[in-house]
Amino acid sequence: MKSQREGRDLYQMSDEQLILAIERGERDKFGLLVESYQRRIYRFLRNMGLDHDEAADITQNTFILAYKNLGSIQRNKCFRSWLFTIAANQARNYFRKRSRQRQVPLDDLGPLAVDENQSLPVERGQLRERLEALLDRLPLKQRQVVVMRVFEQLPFDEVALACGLGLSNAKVTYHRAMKKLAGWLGPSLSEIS
Amino acid sequence: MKCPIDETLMIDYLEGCCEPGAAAQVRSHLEQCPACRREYEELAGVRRMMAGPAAGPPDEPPESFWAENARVVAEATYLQPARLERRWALRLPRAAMTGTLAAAAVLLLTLTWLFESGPFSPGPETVPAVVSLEDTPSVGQALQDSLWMLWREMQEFEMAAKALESAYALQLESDSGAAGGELLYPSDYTVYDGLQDLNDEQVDQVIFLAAGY
Ligand SMILES: [Zn+2]
Repeated sequence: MKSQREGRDLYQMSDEQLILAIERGERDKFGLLVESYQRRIYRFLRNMGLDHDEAADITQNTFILAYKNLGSIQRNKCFRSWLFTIAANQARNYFRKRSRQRQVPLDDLGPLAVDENQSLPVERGQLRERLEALLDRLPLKQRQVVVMRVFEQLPFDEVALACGLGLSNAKVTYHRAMKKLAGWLGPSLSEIS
Repeated sequence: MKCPIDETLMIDYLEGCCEPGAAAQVRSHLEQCPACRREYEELAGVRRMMAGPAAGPPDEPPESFWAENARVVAEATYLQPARLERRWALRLPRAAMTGTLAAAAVLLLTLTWLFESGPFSPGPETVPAVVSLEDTPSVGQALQDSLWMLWREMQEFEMAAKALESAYALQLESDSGAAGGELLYPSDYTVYDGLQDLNDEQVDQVIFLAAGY
């Protein structure tokens, strides 16, 4: 009975309340934050183009860093977007080491759009592969904004916070990325019809 | 005629986060302006494509992966003895507490700069033996060596304190992704990786040196 209520109380605690509890000495409450966000952080990193091992390493490190720096998060700052910031900053190091040569030339990608009138549905995996190839061509910051907004469905103010951009700058960055994607998609759209 | 829809308004409309009034304005403008309409349709097409089946997450790891990840994180964080945290609390203002280890590592980088190319560039006979990060297998060892050198040769704690303070601020910026955050990071260097290599005794020394000013 008691544990059930306790469980519900824990469930209802906001991130901020959990952080306060951790700072008061209930350190194992951090486990709840890990449980809440590890899947999202991992998925974000995969969508940023990292492989499983890389994403797994960074996910782990992100939470360790977050714990060690918990005292530095300002009261008005959102824990969730802060986590994404830490993950993205670490991911950057992987990209620096990586050569850009593995990019697939656009011509080899084939048609990329989903045509609603097409009788043969493009396989999900294929579509995914093509989308990833397109995202790979975006500058890192633009990809980050797109992935956070479209795949993680973060509100723009959190995207901005997590990317270290002002709100309108985040929207402009997103706009640029979407225009680029549209430009790359454009020719193949007309090829289909 | 200049279009009243700028990039941010277009994005607000596309993402459905316009004020209701603004959304109506955008809608009526799109009806009149072929250029904006074309752009909107283009963007909406990309949005649809990404929200479709392709948006699904890449292969998800098995459920056991998450339990294992949570366990490793727990062991590296809240299951660690709280000894150090308590001791720091005695010596450091609360704000500096959690960042101290990281700050100590950044201090090394700051000092390296101060001595190698900054205002404290010395003549050859007083070159401090700041250990190059590249030359040592362990950043933690380099950090410890350098702080010892600082201790023995400098006796400059005021300067060290200032450097530590600004290094700490930069570290915070870097962690939070704000501008200027990349200043002190060499490309593939993780402060925390290095600190993992320290043994307890070394950690004590680092704390003593970094916080003992
Ligand atoms: Zn217009």
